[in-house]
Amino acid sequence: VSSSQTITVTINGTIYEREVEARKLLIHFIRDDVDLTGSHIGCDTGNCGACSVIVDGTLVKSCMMLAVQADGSSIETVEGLADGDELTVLQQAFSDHHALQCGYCTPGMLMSATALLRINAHPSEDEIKKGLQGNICRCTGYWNIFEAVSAAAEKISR
Amino acid sequence: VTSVTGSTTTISPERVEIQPPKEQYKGQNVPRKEDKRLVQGQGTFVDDIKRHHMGYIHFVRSPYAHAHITSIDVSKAESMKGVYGTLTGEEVASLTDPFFQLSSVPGGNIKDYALALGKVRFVGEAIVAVVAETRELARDASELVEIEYTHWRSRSRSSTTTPAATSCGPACTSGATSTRRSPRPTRS
Repeated sequence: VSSSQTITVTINGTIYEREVEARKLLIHFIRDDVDLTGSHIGCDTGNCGACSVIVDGTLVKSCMMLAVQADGSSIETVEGLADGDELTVLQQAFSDHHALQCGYCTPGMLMSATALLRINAHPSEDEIKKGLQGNICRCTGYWNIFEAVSAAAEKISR
Repeated sequence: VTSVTGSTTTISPERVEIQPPKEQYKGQNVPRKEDKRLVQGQGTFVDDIKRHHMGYIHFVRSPYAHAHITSIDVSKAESMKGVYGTLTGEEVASLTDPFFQLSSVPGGNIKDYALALGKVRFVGEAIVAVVAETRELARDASELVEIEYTHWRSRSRSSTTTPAATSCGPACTSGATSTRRSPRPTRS
């Protein structure tokens, strides 16, 4: 029906080579083809941020990118954050500060916050809020998430 | 003691007793056992579940804010290879009860279903569901659903409404144009 292309991407350190339809979105590739369902689809329109992943060091909403555009890139998803059973400081902070309830937006929040803390180890309150503005949460509310990120930033820089 | 001038109300602080929270309400945070898997992306949400021969759904949606549906033709979509089936509002209405209405009358008199029945009331309202082998196929097949509408141009200053027959072709997404333009609203 439509054109396919073979792409090679590295996701959380593992190399995947797959044939994909040219119109396939990166999030569908990650969730359906590679079976990493930690990244979620909340809106399909680039508003909610539940599908946020890090592509070659840049935070990306993966429903706004085609899988073929990711050819040759290195992608980090929520599954790649923890080292085995060892949670990252940020993941632990989310749990400690009750920054999640249903957990649907959490992977996106974690990726946004991870990307933020990498480029800015000492974010101000406004910078944290700005760093999370592309992510929507519908049950926990934002305050606990904000607190978790500030606590993690403080702990990491200590 | 604070007196509100011109009023008999007197608010005396000593009458407002601020009690410390009772011991029984204080305690420790209880760690949630589901947190660990959720922060690692290991939760299982409905969208994460896959089954053999699972179908993917795509909805044909209304391009109009307010229109009557005069006909729906799903035959081309259904004949496409890999399409499991389609569902229209009429079929939904024959298979299910209308949604429960929370509102009192007249709102409570509304009878609506999971898919539009006879009429669409907002742009993007789901009219036909198409289920197919893959997400892409469902999307392609839904482009083959043909729906005809009679719609009313929305207006603010006119008391009359003139129906204009409109046909929405196979694509439905490109934005159908009216075959006949309604007269411009006149100021009264």
